[in-house]
Amino acid sequence: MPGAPPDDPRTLAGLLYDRYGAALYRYALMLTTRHDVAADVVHDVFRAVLTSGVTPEQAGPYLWRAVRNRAYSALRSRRTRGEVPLEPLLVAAAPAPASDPALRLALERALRELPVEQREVVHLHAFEGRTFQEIADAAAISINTVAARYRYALGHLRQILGPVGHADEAPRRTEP
Amino acid sequence: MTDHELEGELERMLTEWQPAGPPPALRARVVAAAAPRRLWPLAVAAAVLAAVAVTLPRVTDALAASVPVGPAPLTRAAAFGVVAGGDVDEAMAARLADGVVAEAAQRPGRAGEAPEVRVPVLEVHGVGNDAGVEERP
Repeated sequence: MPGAPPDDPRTLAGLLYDRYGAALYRYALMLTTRHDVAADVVHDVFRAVLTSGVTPEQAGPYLWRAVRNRAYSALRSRRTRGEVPLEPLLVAAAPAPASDPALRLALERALRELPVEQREVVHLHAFEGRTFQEIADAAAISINTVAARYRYALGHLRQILGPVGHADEAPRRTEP
Repeated sequence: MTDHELEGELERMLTEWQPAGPPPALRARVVAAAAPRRLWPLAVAAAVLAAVAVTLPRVTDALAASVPVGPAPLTRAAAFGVVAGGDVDEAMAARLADGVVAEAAQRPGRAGEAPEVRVPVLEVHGVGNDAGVEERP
């Protein structure tokens, strides 16, 4: 985002949102698994960044960190508990024949059952394409921890989903 | 399939999906929150607070002055006055108490015994400023 920042804060907010908003929302959604909470998190973070004097160049890392902190706070403060909304967590990445509703529902359920730290690593690595090192740097944890969380998450997903490619069968769990 | 192949298949399946995007209204909500704050509500609030800060002490003083004051709490000297015979004022009771204590200190007592304290019986004559108090032996 080269050049001087716009004087009008609304213009700056629009520019920042167009650049980071969707990805930050998906991140917040995968952490909290709630659309309403994710929208509140993103809204609060943008409001905070626009009043903090952070330059547009600094805004990217700040926004990611702030969304992560606020999403974890929302999880701790019971805002995400209660009835699970019916809005889908996932959508097809491309309008392809892969968009099997039963597979989507099974995958969503499996993702919701993951611990949030593992779900976060799955999101950043599998959906956002980040490397383990980038995830480790952002979360201030070791790369070995990131890799371990990813392995555990895949194992957990396999247990919940059952044999891959047979998700139209009833998903089964092998853990008590 | 090996575990490695299964994990690869699972990763491939994950890439066919992505988390849902934000609702369209969120952008407008974020931009609206960035609108510059209006200063006049803050100025009005400050003026109201200043007016309250100035007038509140006067109001409380006026209210306090209008509240009737009840009888003063019974002091030790006044309580002594009541014990000593009844209707004496506090200054008189305090003087009597001092006298009784001084007399008791001067009275010789037996060794090992506390001096005897004699509490005088008071008789009050008259009413108002002319009231006199006599000590009856």
